Amino acid sequence: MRRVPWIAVALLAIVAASLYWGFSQMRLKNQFLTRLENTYQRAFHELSFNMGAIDSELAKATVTSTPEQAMIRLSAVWRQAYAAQEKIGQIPLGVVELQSTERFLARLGDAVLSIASTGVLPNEQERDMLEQLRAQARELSNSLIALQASVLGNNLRWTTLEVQTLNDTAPRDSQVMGQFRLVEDQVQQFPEVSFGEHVNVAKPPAIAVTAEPITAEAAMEKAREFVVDLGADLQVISQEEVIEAEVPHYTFTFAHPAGNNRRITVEVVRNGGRVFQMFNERTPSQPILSIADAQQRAEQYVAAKGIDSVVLLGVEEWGDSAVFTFCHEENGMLFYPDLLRVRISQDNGEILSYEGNGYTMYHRKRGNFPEGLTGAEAAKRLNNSLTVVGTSQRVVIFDRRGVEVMCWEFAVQRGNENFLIYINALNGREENIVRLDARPMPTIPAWTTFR
Amino acid sequence: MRSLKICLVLLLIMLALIPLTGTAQVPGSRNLRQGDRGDDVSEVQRRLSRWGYFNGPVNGVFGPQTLVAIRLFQQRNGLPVTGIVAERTFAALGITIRSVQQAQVNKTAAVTPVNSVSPNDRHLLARAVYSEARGEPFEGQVAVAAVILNRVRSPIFPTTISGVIFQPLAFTAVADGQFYLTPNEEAYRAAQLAVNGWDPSGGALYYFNPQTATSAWIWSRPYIKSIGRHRFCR
Repeated sequence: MRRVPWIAVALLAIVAASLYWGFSQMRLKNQFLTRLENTYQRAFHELSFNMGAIDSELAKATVTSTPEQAMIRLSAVWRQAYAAQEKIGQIPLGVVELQSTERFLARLGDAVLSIASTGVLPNEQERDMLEQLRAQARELSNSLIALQASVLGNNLRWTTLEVQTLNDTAPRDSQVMGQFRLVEDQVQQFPEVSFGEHVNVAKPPAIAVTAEPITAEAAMEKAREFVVDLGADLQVISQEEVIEAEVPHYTFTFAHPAGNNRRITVEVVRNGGRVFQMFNERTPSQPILSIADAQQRAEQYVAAKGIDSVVLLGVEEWGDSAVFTFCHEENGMLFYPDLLRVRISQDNGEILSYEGNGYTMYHRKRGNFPEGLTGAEAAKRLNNSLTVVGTSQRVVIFDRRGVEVMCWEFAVQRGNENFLIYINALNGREENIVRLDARPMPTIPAWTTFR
Repeated sequence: MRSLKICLVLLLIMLALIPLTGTAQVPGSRNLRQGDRGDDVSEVQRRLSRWGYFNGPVNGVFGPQTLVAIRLFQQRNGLPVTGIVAERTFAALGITIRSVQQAQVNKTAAVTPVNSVSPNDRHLLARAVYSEARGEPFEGQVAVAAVILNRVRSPIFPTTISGVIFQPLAFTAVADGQFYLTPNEEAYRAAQLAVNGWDPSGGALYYFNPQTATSAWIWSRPYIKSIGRHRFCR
């Protein structure tokens, strides 16, 4: 009788088991890959659908004779444009940029929503604009339909492309990618559409761009002056002129006098030389100052920087520190664009960080504002189910197009919900509604567990 | 003997239940004096003990120890020493008074640079910061959060924080799953500062680590500045 070769049997069993295991793993992987592929394919094909729908809804909007239809169609265009933008963000395009296409969709959406919100039939100028946009949307839609056919014909797999992009082995000249680039080029060559009133204008000329540039030495002086209460003659660790930033500026890094490798970073705007950001980061120890104490420190700090006539808008409590938000005030009027924030530590009242982007960019001597509506007149424009809470006041805000407008600000209440409502003080238009969410803001559960 | 034991147990249970019977009062909706109970008392006790005025238990019962703490707090903060927590003492404690007529509206919501950043969105932001930039200088972490928020505002990127974070191929740490690590406190602070408007990146829309970047394309973006190991670009 021959001996059973147990070892061989065992090895065979192990090989068989691992083969089985490997096979099922592979099958599982392929299943997941297919599911991922499906979500990508769905986004891509829906993108083409959305573009087609933009074209067709725009066409309907230009032939209707009733304001209701116009509004319905234009809202549909806006919705489809938004959806198309979302889909682009869901496809792993990698090295292909569709920036112009996205910008086109964003502006198209803004413009049609703005026309729809007038509530009347588009006037001749607006119809012209819609016709132009429609021609462009149609071109774009045609290209996407061709691209779709090509993706289907070549059986392109987005997941394959994604893996290639991650390994930087993506073929830069593949047919589909080439076609995508053509779409983008096509959009870049669209003639400029004049949107008139219907699209965002640039924010008002910012001081930080128009003022005279200062030298690095002068900027360093400003930076030193700004942190003088943390220590005189701080040692400079590094300095850099940052030209390509949204706001060209100098960045200075100082050594904190307390040592421990602590750094203080101060950013000074090149044009005009205002300090617009400061970091003096550390984790505060056991808080001993109350919020009221910290507020006093924040107010003193801001005043010491020569920033006068600002008022406190609100406090965000972090437990060991608090962020105080201020804005400029003049003759009882608040200027919301001129904004600055200070974070104060509640252990010793030290300033941890400062942010004055808004104040730096927009604070200037403004011309006189016309008298406009009185508060009582403006209040008549409010929805009459609302209760006005506290006193109302005149404020300056940016409207939807980025233009400074003077408004009456009303804090109102309905049921247990609070809102701020902005009524244009010149024409009575309702410019903005802000809901004040009563839910506690920064309660991040993890914060407590780290202590 | 046994009935005495049962009585004792019952008594203990009832005693234990007393703090629970305190009403769920919103802090600031009523004045507080000795003898009051409720969540609002707990909130006052929490704040007093955090600032070292109160050593007793935070139990929602306004007892003699709380009274002493309140009087001390009032004295040190230049308030009339009444032992009663009313409008001014609430304000000094940092508790917003919520009754309709006295509402001091917090207007920061009206001017927050990115509107509607919910606590959950902050959490997502903190995860992105932690997974992408832990070990970087603090400003570098704020800058990463700021890039995400700059993208939300930009017309050429998705319009929500989650849309930006989960965009395919946008962030390597999201792609490789590091995003699901638990962020540390520093990452939360960085996210929170960025939400409040701080942006050390100079308005950047991209950043990369030159040591590990695999794509040649990213080098073609206009360079703004470097913070730690990251290059920030437009």
